[in-house]
Amino acid sequence: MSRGDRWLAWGSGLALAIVLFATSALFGVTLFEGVPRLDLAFFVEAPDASMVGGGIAPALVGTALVTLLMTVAGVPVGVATGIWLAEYAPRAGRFGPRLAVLVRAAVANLAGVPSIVFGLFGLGFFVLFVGRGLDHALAEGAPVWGRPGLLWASLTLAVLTLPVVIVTTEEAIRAVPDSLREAALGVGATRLDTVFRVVLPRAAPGIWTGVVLAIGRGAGEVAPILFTGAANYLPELPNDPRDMFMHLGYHVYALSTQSPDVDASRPTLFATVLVLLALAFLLNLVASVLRSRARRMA
Amino acid sequence: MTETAVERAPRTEVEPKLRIEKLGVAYAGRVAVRDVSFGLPTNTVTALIGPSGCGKSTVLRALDRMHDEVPEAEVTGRVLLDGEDVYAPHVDPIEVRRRIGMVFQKPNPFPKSIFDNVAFGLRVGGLRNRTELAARVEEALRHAALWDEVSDRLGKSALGLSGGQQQRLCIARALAVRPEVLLLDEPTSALDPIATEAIEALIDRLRGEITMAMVTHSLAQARRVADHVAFFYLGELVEHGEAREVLEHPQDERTAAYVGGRVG
Ligand SMILES: Nc1ncnc2c1ncn2[C@@H]1O[C@H](COP(=O)(O)OP(=O)(O)OP(=O)(O)O)[C@@H](O)[C@H]1O
Ligand SMILES: [Mg+2]
Repeated sequence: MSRGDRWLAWGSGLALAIVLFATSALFGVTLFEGVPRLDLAFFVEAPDASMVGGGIAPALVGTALVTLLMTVAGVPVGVATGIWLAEYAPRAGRFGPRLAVLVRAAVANLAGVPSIVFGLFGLGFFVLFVGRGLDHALAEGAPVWGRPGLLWASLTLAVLTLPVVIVTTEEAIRAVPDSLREAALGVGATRLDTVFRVVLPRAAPGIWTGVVLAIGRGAGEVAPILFTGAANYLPELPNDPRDMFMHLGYHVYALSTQSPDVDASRPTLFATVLVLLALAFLLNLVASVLRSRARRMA
Repeated sequence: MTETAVERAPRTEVEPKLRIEKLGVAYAGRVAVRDVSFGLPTNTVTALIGPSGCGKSTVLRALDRMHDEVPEAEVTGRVLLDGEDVYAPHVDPIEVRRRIGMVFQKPNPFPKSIFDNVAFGLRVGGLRNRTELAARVEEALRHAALWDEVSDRLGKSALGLSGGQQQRLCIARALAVRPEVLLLDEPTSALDPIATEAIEALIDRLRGEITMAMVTHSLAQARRVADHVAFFYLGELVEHGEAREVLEHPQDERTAAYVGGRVG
């Protein structure tokens, strides 16, 4: 073994040790402090005002609702954009390819924007511009639409996750071999038939991977919902899309910084982190299963 | 090279099924095929031969308007199907592709069941009736000499078939919509000799029912199945006529060099 090789081996070993240590420290602390706090009540009760006792039910429900609305609002737009970029833009005359270049540049830039900026954008555009605009148009006295709420938070997250959906959809569609398109067109299928009966079924696992990745990303983000709908402490469940809501990620932030007695809140805090991590892993697992299925088909 | 191709097809009064007139194709402004004129006589097999890159596939794809799907391809000239130009403004390319079927070099079955593969063209054509679909699928599979091998597993994935069976499935898929012309682009080049023989036998059986044009790199295959041969060289049609005449007594020296094994 040469000196260089030995150095490399030592370096890799050290890096591995650091990764293993960091991972086990993170999980060790979380498990050690969080697990004793977990019981059924933790999942079905609202937190109490002191942020020490009670459960996380409103945050679970709020996270589920905001993620669901985000998916419903964002995924169709993202998938449709991906389909257009991959399948239609190249054939849309002289104008199509140029517009596609612009759209791709916009998507790439969108993907690089820090999430807190999305929060500000959501506040400025959805809450103040669209929401207040609606209030004016409907002649509401007090702001009804023009305040933070579930709907605006969902839409902000939808915009945040658009790039993931668009890029994975376009890639999945491009990976479908042209020979299948030719086969379909060759027996008299329209472009629409070709896309919906041949291309999309074949690209589906790849598209689903993107959707799950987007859900995972959106479910874990806190910054975009900070000003657009998340509540510090709100034991009641939202029953209107304009209501504010509690959120797991935001709850972690609130427990660790806003609690009157931070030490007393620690078990609750780590139990909440544990739930959040479990959700993230679950989504990653689903995404990697889908991805391996997509790869097997290609 | 502006002299016209050696044309030795018998000058009969009968209008060919498909007549190609001054066909030209350019990719992004680069001419790939120029001034090609010949005919596919009704219910015969015409072999398109020539060295790699001479434009055989390009000509074939022009006949069923496949170049419509390639943004950088530009087609000039006329392709007359029963005397009517398939490139005329009012003609729908979808309709053209129903009347002119295409089979590709590499078998390209859909990742669907055998039945759904053959039924695909019928379904997108609007046929919904289940009994009629089943009847047409069986007819096409029998036509393609595949029925006996797959009749007990129509619901199974087409990807489980052998390469030769897949290619016959693709032929069945093309035949299911009852095209009048069938274009085959090197249909056996990805297959072993046994599967090749099966496809050639199938083409031979279809002769007399359907007009065929087949690209092939095998002169032996052209000799075995073709009634007529068109020899292409560098994007031009050099010689066209009865298979035996072109292959045994070529008039043009470029044809002679190719069929004599000195080029290509
Ligand atoms: N999509 C395309 N874009 C640009 N050029 C193309 C395209 N398809 C074919 N060509 C060019 O057109 C010419 C003719 O190609 P074509 O595929 O028709 O040849 P061929 O005779 O079928 O060759 P082979 O025997 O190798 O299949 C070649 O120079 C090729 O590079
Ligand atoms: Mg070719």
